[in-house]
Amino acid sequence: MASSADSLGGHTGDDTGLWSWVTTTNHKRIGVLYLTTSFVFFLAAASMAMLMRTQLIRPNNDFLSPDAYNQIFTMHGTTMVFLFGMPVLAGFGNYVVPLMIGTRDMVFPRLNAFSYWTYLAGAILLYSSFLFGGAPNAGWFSYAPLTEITYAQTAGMDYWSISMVILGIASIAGAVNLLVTILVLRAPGMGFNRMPLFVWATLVNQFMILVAMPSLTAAAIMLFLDRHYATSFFNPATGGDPLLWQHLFWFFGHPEVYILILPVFGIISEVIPVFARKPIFGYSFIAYSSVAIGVLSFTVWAHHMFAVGLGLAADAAFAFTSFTIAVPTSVKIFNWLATLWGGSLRFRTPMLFALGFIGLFVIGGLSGMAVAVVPFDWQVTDSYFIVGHLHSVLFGGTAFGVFAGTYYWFPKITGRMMDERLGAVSFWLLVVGFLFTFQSFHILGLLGMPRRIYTFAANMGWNELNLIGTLGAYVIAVATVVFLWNLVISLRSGRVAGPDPWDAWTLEWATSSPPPKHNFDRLPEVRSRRPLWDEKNPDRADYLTRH
Amino acid sequence: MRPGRRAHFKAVASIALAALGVVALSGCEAFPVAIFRPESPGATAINDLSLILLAIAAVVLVGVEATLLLAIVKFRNRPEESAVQTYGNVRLETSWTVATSLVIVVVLVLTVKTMVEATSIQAIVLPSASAWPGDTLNVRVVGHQWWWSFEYPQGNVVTANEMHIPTDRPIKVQLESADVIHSFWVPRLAGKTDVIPGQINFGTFLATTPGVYAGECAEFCGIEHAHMGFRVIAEPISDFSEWMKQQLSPAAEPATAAQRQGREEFQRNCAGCHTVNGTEASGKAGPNLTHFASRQALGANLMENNPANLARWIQNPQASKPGNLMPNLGMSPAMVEQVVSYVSILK
Repeated sequence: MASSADSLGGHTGDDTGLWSWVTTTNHKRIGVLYLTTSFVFFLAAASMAMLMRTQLIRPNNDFLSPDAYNQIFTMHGTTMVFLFGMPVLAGFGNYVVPLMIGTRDMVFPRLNAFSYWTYLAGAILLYSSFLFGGAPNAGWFSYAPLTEITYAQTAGMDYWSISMVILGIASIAGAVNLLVTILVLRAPGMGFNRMPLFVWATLVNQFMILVAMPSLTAAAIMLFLDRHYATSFFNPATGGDPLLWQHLFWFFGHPEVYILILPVFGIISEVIPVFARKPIFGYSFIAYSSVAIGVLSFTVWAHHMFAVGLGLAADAAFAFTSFTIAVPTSVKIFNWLATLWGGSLRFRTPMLFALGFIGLFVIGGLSGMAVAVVPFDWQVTDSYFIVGHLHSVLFGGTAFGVFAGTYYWFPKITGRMMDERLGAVSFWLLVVGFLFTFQSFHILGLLGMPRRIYTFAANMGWNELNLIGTLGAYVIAVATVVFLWNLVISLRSGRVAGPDPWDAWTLEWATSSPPPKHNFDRLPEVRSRRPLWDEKNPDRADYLTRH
Repeated sequence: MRPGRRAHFKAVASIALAALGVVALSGCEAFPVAIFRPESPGATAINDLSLILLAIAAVVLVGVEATLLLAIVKFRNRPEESAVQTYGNVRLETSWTVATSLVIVVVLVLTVKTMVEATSIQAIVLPSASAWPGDTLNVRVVGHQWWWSFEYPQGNVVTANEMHIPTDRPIKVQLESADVIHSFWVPRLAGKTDVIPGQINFGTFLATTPGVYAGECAEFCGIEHAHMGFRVIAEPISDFSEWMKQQLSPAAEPATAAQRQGREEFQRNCAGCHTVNGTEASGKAGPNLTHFASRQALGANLMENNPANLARWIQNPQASKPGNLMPNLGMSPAMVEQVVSYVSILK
């Protein structure tokens, strides 16, 4: 049956050339666009981190002026969250989900292209602020009234507000697309209880994006109005309330951090079984806990506001909800450990990163539970303890998971294997860098170092740990260069991958690497969660035991 | 584990231990703002809870990492047929979910208990009868970009960046902002409370031990957020009363010609932003300088208060604290010296 995409003739198809990439509506190409663009922004934000850590290598340093430092830390956070974190997961979702559910493309291919180019436009707008008076400089969560026109006189905050709106539109469009695709285009026989866990996680994630993003979009528009049209949403001098900004932002902001981790939980749930050679332990618990996290993430936002004076009752209520969400998050770790147990473990690079994820994310998870303890938070909020916590979950968690997914699906996307030795080198360097930098940060917070300071005095007791933190960052930089080198040589001359280099079980491995434009010449029958396992092991098929 | 991997693990472990060693040896005495060195009942309550949290976290962390390492070692590269195709175990999964929930309930109870202990004046037990038993000292704290003012109810005493308090008495700070959100944080005495324009927050604490406690602004508030420190000086009630008497006394009068000249320069250049009680200088944009010379530090705990630093500050405030709201006044070094000689008598 000819599809409308085929009938567009020369505009789609396995074309080459720049124009074919600009006009593509194919989910695989758009996935690659998301992945490469988000990685470019990862490099930009990581470079900013190197600048920040160089400034903080010793007390009273003058490598960066305070104004430069404040723009850089703001853009580092904004870039990592909105221009790397969300888009890279949208990229994996775009590329992998249609393959995993056995369909030929997303349900709205043109909307898909629109999402990507809108994201790119928002990103370019945000970065153009550097050229037009200075980047935003009030932190990635832009607390009012510091962001009001009285105190933020450059246009940086306007670039921030408008690009937030544009990026929000891109995310919402992408969320609608992925959501509907997963709901209506699954292969015959693939009920919800047979969907890969990466698809489950992506599905829940899109619901979260739809509910959370509008809060940020509204707040950003209100900020812009305050700054230029004399409204008084957040400006206390004219009757507004700075806390309204915080509620609106964190109602988005907390679900946002789960948006940044949930698909990664899905990636880990795909990688570990394949490299342990056994099914995921507790598929149902993991699927339902993803839903629980999605719902509960909207009930915890004011744990970012324990120090603003909401009162003991409100603080205690949000502590309660924050502890509740810790349960579904932590039991997943036990499920992954139980998956490893009794398995036949293979330490290829995707597995190294998945194991590293478990070992490192748990540190961030524990420091996160600690800061749900309100009085402990009263001491450590807005200190380097929080910086240590957030990087432990976002770097030890999201970044390690993204690396796992990259090494895992690179062969599918490019048809070539990445180099195992370079992968291992990069992995170990990242582990060392992670420990040196972000665990020093946890300690620095306990030693009273506030966050977002461009320098510090020599007699506070913070000198050695800041030095260690900076050296760790340089190790991470080396690891990133090794990874880049691996990408380059693998693209050029990596070993040919074939359709199924990992001997895996989900549908994306049932077609060539890379897949043809229509994805599948032949779709395996889906009678369980592991269709390819069933085909390869008919005497031990999952469906024989009712799965 | 393959020998190469064992070597990898050893390398990582020894690096981590070395790092911890550096931390342990690197000047244990030099942690003036560590939360684990509390000197108040509130901070002690938080400290005790923090140690319990650390213990629980350590147990969980060791448990998870040990299980991970054990699984890696035990099941590495086993023949594929040995991998048991288990799908799950509802009883096991339910048990560990319930166990996690129980630990969390315990921590929640401790949380609420400590919240009350850390904030309630009624919960603070005075160690012994003090001169004014049961009386709370109220201090009005105003956060500005990038300095702190402290006002005492007695005789409208106004000072900046250095807050004296008597030990063993409850202190209630009334926190206000003149501009953006700041945060009042003296780690060894209390958790932080944000300072928010348009609303008044309160904090309560009690210092048990005399000493100088460093405080910091803990909410990003603009270009010089890094240099918005302050000092809380806790002293016995007799010393505190002496300090209060001094703060209530009128500004010192110049005695020498240089000091008189300095006061004239001060009125010309500084009075627009600063106040010296009893003189024409009544500016409110910057700190009250009536008793500036009695303070230990200047520039919001930026540097020690001595004539050399003071001259450096007045000559070029932007060089020491770029972006702060005190402009370079273009004073000649001679003028600066005269102003320094005047301001130095304002004890």
